[in-house]
Amino acid sequence: MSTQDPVAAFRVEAGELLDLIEHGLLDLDHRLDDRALIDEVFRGLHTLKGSGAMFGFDALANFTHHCETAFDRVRKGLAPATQELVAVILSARDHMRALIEGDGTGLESTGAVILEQLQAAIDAAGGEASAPAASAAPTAQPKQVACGGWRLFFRLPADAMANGTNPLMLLDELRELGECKIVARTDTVPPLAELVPTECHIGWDVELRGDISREDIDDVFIFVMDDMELTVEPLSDEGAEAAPEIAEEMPVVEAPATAQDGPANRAGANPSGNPSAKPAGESVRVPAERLDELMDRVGELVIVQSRLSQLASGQGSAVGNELALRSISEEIERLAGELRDTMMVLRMVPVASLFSRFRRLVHDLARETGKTIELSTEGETTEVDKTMIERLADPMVHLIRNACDHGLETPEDRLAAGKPAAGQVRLSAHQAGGEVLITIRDDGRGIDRARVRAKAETQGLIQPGQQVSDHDLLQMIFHPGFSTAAQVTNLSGRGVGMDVVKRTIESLRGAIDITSAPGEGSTVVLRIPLTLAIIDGLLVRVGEGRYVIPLGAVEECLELSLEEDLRSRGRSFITLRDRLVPFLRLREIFDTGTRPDPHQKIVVIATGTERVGLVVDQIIGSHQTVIKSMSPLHRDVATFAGATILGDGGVALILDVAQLVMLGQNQEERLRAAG
Amino acid sequence: MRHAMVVPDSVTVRSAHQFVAVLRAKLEEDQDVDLDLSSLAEVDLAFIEIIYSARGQWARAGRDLRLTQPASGAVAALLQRAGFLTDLTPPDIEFWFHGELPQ
Repeated sequence: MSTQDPVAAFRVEAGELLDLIEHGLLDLDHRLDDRALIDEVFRGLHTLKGSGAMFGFDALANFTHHCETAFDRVRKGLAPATQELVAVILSARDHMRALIEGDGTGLESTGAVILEQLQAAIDAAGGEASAPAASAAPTAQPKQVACGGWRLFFRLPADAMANGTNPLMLLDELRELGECKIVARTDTVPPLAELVPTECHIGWDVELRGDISREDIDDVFIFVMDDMELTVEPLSDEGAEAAPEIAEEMPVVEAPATAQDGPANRAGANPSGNPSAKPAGESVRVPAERLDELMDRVGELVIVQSRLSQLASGQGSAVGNELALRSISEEIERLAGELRDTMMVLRMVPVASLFSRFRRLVHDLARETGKTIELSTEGETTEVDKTMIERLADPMVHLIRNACDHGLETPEDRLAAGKPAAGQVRLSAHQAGGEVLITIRDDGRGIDRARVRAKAETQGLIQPGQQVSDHDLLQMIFHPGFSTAAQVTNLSGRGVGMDVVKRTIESLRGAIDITSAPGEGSTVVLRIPLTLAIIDGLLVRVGEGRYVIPLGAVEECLELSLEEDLRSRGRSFITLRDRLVPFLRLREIFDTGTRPDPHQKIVVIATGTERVGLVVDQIIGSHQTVIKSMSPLHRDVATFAGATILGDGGVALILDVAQLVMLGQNQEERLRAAG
Repeated sequence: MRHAMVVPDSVTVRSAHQFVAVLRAKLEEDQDVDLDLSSLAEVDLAFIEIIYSARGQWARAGRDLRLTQPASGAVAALLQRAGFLTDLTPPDIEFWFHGELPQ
């Protein structure tokens, strides 16, 4: 956290708090009587209010105060948590984000409407004071009351005051519990030279006398309990020898890696509706050990540079210098590789930060459509480049929205079809070579082929009665303006989206694939590269040109003798472990006009389960490839994913593995069709 | 030679950085300092913590840090509320109240 710009730091931390509040609310929506969740949301609101006021966000503090008060009633058992209340607080949470991002101007009427809804939700629930919260797990145990009272020591987390917690208020609350002796402890206050004045290092010994339960004490510290140091033991004589009730210094739990935008509501990915709002994830939390590793590499680089300078100063024999230069060159090569790997890892964040955004989206869609939707996720620890995460958010919003709105049926229709009333949307991620596969699967009605065909015919994409493969038919939905939704809803069906989704994924050097089974649901698979910046490549020569094949896609390399090449002419298949694999002669595709090398090689590449061989004249070796995008003139050239500059200044084009595999598969289909 | 320093009217967690910066500068100058709290009206625990921190540092430097007048008003109320007046040590009584606890 930077002390240089406390307001910017507050915005980042407030964003994380809002995410915590949102997650708590979404969990609470399913477990309305979960006391721990109620406390978690309440603590979040309280901290947000306090720190908002401290950093001058008065509109935020005032607005949040009402929500906190409402939740306080729930916490105290004066009102039950209801789904209506959760929904209103979720809207309020979006409003809070807008107040944090802007100065509050023009948002007053929105805030007033939400507060009216909040009041209505509280009024509707208020009569039933039985309060599930009051009877929930923590209070189900008998209250623990020490006869004489309690002795406690507490020290708040260092950043408590900066986050809006006022220790004096806590002391006042303890005084309200009973007779109280408070002694401040300053033994851990650092010397002035090291003191960070916004941090609190004071501790307190407190003796509390009276009929006070342990829960009463915990309630005082509910906002800071997770991170603080707290020791509580009974004051009574018989309890004097007892071990401390709690002696805890809870580890600081690292917040999610990115401060994200909230899940998109129907207005789009930005709930505040403010297009100028700061994009999510501008900062990324990096584990300290990864930075240490980077520092080690930089340290080594400095040493090598110093050796190089010594060499350049011209001392030593020519032979010795040449050997030393070679050694330095090898060392720099090693360090460059390690630096690259370390740097790449710094940029990687788990897709959990992406998936977690969609919980809110699905919650809102379920309310909007009246459907029961269950979202499940898998493979959240799979890591992807941070930039990729940000650019995947919008396409995934479209896909999930489509799945919920078009794919899933109403509970009645599902029951009638013999399915459970609740529809399932499943998000999963896993790494396969140099790619990450992200899958969005629903168990809805599936894509209606007849309607897709009818629409495609209407739009002139295919002729009436024209034979089209199932795969090609499904690809129609990626055409601009294509929508089969009979009814345009707030959520989807405006014919905008799938073409944009496809374009966005392809701009990330990725690919999108869709499969669908009538009555069983649809599956969309996004194949995206791990990173956008640097890849390990296999440098090959075809004719006079050099090309890079992404190494992650390379399965094996085989020799193709001239005789075999002549024998296979016209077939373009090799048998690989009892399986026919199509191969492409790059020399012919690129029309090099050169004769084949007598020792050609086949480089077998794969995406998913599909494989294809690429015939090249020579394999030069592995190559760390810094990807440069193609010029606008060449951007539409399929087969190439980009270009790179080689050590000798020459340019090598990077082959687009997905395109080549597709080309190979098409060739296979054509040949099979020809018999 | 002693140096008098007037503490600004507000020292809270929001403005504590400036106060600490001034104190550190005084420490660099290796001076005995008399703090004048007469203007100080708005104060929170950050101020008390800074003073405890500064007292330790001044003592280690063999220098003297004092108040020009016994603590009163907002500062005394804060000390009371935060539990600093319970089990007060003689050096604390001397520093904050010039040897005489307030009645």
